[in-house]
Amino acid sequence: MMEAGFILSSSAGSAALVSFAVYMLFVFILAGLANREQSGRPFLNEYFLGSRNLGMWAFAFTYAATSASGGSFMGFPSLIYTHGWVMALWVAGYIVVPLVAIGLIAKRLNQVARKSGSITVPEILRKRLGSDTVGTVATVLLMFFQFFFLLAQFKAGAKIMTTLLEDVSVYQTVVVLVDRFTSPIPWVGAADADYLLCLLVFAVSVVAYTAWGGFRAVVWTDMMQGVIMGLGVVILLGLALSQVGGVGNATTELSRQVPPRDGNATLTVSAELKESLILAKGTWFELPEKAQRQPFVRLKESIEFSDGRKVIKNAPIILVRTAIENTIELRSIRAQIDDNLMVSISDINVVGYEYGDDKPGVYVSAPGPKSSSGLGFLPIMLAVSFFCFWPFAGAAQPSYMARQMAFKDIPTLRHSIIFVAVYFSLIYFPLIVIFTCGRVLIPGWEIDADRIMPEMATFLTSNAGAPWLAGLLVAAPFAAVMSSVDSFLLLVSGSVVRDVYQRKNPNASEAKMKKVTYWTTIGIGALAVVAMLNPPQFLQDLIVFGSGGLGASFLMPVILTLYWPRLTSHAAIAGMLSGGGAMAAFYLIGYFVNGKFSGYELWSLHPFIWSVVVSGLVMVIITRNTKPPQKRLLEKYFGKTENLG
Amino acid sequence: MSKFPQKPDTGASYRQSKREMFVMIGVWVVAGLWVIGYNSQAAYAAENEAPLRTLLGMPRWVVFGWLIPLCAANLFTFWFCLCFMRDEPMEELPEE
Repeated sequence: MMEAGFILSSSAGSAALVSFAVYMLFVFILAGLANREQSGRPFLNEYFLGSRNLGMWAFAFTYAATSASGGSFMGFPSLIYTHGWVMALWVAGYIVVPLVAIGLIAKRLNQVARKSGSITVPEILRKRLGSDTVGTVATVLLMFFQFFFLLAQFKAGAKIMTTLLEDVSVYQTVVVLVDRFTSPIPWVGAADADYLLCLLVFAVSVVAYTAWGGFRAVVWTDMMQGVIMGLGVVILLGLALSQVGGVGNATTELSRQVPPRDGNATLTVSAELKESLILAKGTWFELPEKAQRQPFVRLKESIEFSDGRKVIKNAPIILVRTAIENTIELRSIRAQIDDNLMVSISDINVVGYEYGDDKPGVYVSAPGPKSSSGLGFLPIMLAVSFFCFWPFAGAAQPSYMARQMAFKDIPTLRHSIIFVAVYFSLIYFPLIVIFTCGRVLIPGWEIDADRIMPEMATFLTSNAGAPWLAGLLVAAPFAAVMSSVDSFLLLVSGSVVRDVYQRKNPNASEAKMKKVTYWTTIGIGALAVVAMLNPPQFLQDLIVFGSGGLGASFLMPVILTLYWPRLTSHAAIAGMLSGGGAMAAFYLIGYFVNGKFSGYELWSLHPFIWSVVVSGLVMVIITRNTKPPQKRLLEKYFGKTENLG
Repeated sequence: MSKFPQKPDTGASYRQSKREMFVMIGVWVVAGLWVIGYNSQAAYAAENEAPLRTLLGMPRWVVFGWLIPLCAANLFTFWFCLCFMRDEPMEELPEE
């Protein structure tokens, strides 16, 4: 038995698959062209930085596309859908991200990287501060936190593919085969076969084109992906607004919504079963109206009645209570209800959100609903934290720094900042509008909020009678994920090859370096696949941990390395370790206090803020108490020492 | 933006970058005061508004506390990049 959302996907399936295949073909053509460009240039400089000659379009698009990762196109929509308009405040720091995150260090970083001949961030720190230990610590921290970030992107990529392909018959046949083959294997067998298959396909494609084409392939595919993302968002916005009848309609219905309740119920089949009956995940049931609200139950998982079983207890469900004035929402749910379903529902046991239960208006205001905290989703201090987090954590991401080391001149930088400012405005604002409309157009996706982006794309395009468009729209988040994964892969492999292997083997031949580089990239991809076989539920938690950890480890050390001549290597080491260590400690405490993978928010401030403060203080104190750096290094990176002040 | 010398001057480049950094941090502080200051009142009070006050179809606080600051920040970014940020010659790469 299928519910309507999945039927819509089915009609879009084949067309989407074709669009998607064409997209992948272009990615590999670009990778092939980039590979040809590598010949005749110094391998490492070309492979990891594209010979430092990125022009405006390449730099701006690669920066924007890398930044707009799976978080922006999967995690962020999921959060908008779950918490409503408060996400505008959550993401408000982005209004200054292009200026601060790029402008803060890009110019100076690029100059210092050129002066020192550095290819990676650890290498810049090592050469500027004249200490091998600084480089080693930076490499270890970068690989640790960046790997978490990479994992989140792998999960996002696989999730998008499962949605895109779920109703393609060839794909379903392969999924059954994969299931048969993998189910007896420990650890691997625990993963859903469809997710596993998509994870493998995604990983093989992205690792292959990244390893093949290097930085230039990544930048060129980023440009294409950036265009697709922008187009995808604009089309989605138009479709969402036309189908909901304007943002005003969506906001009005949203203002009457209350959060769903979560729990379980008993399902009973009211007819004789000749064969087993499967109720798909997402199946809806309508209950009698109560207190001006129309209750509906939705299944969180597939349920199977087999071997003559007619009653199933404790089936996981959510209870959605729709205001009877919400005509669009009611129409959408009722369109998905199967009237011929011979199953009744009883013994409903549900609990409401700790903040927002029975509170209309909670989706159009701050702090927004939250299931696990009575303070709501975004208490004011947490809003302050995120306003600091986005620009400064953004400034401290080594993957962005790699791009900031690759632009060819300052005019390129200036024009790119302007471009990214416009591009981000055209991405983030529409995303919030689209997915607040999504709460009204396709309610009940709290059962799997991470899938809301592809579900919304297939729903909107099918309704508009253009299912082929789903391929392009789903390619947008897929492109976002790919453009981040390829950059992160390259960053981690760059660190391994340049900062570890080449340090130990300074005389290795170019052919040998190439071999090591390719195998490192493949090895890291394989590790990520193994780690993501059984992924944690919330994508955004992993992303915030990874990016926060990188930010906490590198923000103050990099800024002070670039702008404070007095900084010493001991202080930089202590700053990185204390920043990264504090971040990990807050997540460890959060795990014990909250019972899940999340940061502990002391006084409602995000762990990133505390970690950066700790890192900065430690660095200042240690610098003041250690020997000043060598004059030779100061003159090389800051000019004449008498002008330093 | 101004005409720059042909040869890189490490000291001058460092001092100019530092000036630009302080301006950017200043902009971030101003934007933060506006967004957080305004929304700490308006966004959190909207929960009890009945009916909700809207503008352009969105909650009013979103327009004044996010959309307008976004436009203002973009305008400033244009000015900063086109008029304030200085071009400089790029440092030479050392021999490998």
